Amino acid sequence: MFRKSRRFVGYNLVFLAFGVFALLIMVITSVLYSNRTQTYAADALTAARLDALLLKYQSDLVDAETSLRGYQLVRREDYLAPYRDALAEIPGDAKAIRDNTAAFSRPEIAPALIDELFRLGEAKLALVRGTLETLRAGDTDAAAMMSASDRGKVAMDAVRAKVDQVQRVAESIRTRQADNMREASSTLTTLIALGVGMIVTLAVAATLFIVRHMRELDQAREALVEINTNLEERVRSRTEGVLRANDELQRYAYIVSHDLRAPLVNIMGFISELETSTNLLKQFVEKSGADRADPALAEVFDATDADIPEALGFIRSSMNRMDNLINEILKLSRAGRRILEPSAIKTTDLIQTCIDAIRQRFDDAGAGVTIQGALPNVVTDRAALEQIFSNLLDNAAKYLTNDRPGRIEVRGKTRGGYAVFEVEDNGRGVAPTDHERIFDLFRRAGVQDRPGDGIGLAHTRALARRLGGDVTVESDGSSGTTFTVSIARDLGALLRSETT
Amino acid sequence: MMKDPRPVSIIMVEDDEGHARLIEKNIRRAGVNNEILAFRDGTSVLDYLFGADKSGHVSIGRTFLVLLDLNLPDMTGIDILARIKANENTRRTPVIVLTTTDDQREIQRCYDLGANVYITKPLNYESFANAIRQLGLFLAVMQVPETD
Repeated sequence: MFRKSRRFVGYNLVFLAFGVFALLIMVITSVLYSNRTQTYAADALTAARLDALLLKYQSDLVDAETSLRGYQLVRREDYLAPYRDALAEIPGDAKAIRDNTAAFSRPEIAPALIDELFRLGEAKLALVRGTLETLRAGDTDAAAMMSASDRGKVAMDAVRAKVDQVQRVAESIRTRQADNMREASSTLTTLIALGVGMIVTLAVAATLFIVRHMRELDQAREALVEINTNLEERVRSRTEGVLRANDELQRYAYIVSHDLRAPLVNIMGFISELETSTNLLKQFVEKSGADRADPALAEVFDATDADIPEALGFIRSSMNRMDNLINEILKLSRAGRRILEPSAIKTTDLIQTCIDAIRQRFDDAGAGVTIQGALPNVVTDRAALEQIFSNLLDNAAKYLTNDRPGRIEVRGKTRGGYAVFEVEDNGRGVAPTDHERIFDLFRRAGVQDRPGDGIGLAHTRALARRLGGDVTVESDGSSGTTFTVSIARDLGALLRSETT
Repeated sequence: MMKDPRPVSIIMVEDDEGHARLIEKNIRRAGVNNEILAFRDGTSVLDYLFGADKSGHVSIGRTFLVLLDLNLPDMTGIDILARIKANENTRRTPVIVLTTTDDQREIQRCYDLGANVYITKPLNYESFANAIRQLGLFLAVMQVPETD
């Protein structure tokens, strides 16, 4: 179960890592490619601009020459306006051409080529300027000569050729970068498609995993519910078994003690009959006037006077003792069969009543009894609890030692669903080897100098267990004894939970 | 009983011979001289009361009362009580339950089934002897119907 869940977490982490990785790659490539595309676009734009500027430059030169020709023909100053405009435009255009040439992402056009172009352009302009100056100087013929010569055409052709050359280079750049752009964008599209595919795959896989895991969880939960139900059933059947065993034990104790008494009644009955008969016999022997001094008859007198009554006395006292023990077992089994009646009890009052009931014994022993602090109140069977504390207090009073003044303390606290009470005395204590033995029926510990049958603690333990707890003892065997009684704080609730 | 023209028999059902003897002795001490028939188990007393045909006709004309112990080896006294009270011929016969059980439910059941007296045997012998003697005195003044 646990391993499966860890595997699930592991798989999910791997999926997550894959997803994040794929996204990262996608984002990086996209950024990379979009940067590259931007460069390609900028280059293509620059190339186009360069193309236009070259054309403008060329047309400026043509304008300058055309304007000069016009002036040459009509000699009107305003025909020179295009010439002047061209002259004004050319430096700016030249600068723009140089700037654009330099603006490419990598050196595509050698500055020397541009320099060459401008040199040719300047040469052309110089010719035009020379012709104009000649005209202004009034040398019309020389000017006409100059115009007629093919030097101007040659210079212009050189310029055109150069412009053409640069334009071709620019064109090739533009085409190349446009191709690059298309390629980059198609690569980008492919990458994005791949990334999307990957993410979708991952999402589907992860969803499948989650669904599977949820199904497993569901199954596990069902299994757990089943186990739980089984467990409840087992607990119920065990509890029933224990209750039944307990019941049987109680019945057994009852029947045994009961059936043991039947023969006892016979024994006691016939002892009485025997005593009656013996008395009759004794009276008869005495009335018979037989001689006690006669050795043959002395034994008869002994028998009727001493032997038979003595034997009967022993039988009777043994029977009384046995009767007593059986009575106690009967009492115990009756206590076990008695139906408990839980009620709210003020424990301090109850214990005070128990103390008052045997106050005389404490006073006789010169012992002090105190209840320490507030005792927790409980809901339990009053008679059983009274019996428990009476027995423990009685024991405490009974087994005090003469070495020190008696001191008995009762304390209490709650621990979880239990109320825990302690009855501590500074009496003679219980040797550690006897700690369990003293709770056994008819077993006692230490010097057997006090009256008792070994019933009290067995009874106390049986009662405490019926009240949902137990009794334990702590003692070093010399300086005192502490009995700890724990009982359920709410016996009613405990009984209800047992029967359902 | 003493005035009755027909002698009343006491049918004592008790599996413990000692008890039976002690009961008999103490009843006698109370001055009861009637015949006491002792049975040690349920089967024999049922045979006596209802005969071989189990009809109870054998009891017609007899005058008796039953001292019944509940703990018997072969059946419980309650069965015997029920049979006596259910039979046409014996239903008026007084039944005195004399047993060790003082369980309230047992006592109630016995009276429900028609027991006339229920006595718990004291477990102490002096009390036992005393109780039986008093029962004897009670028997001495008791009227028993003739079975018909």
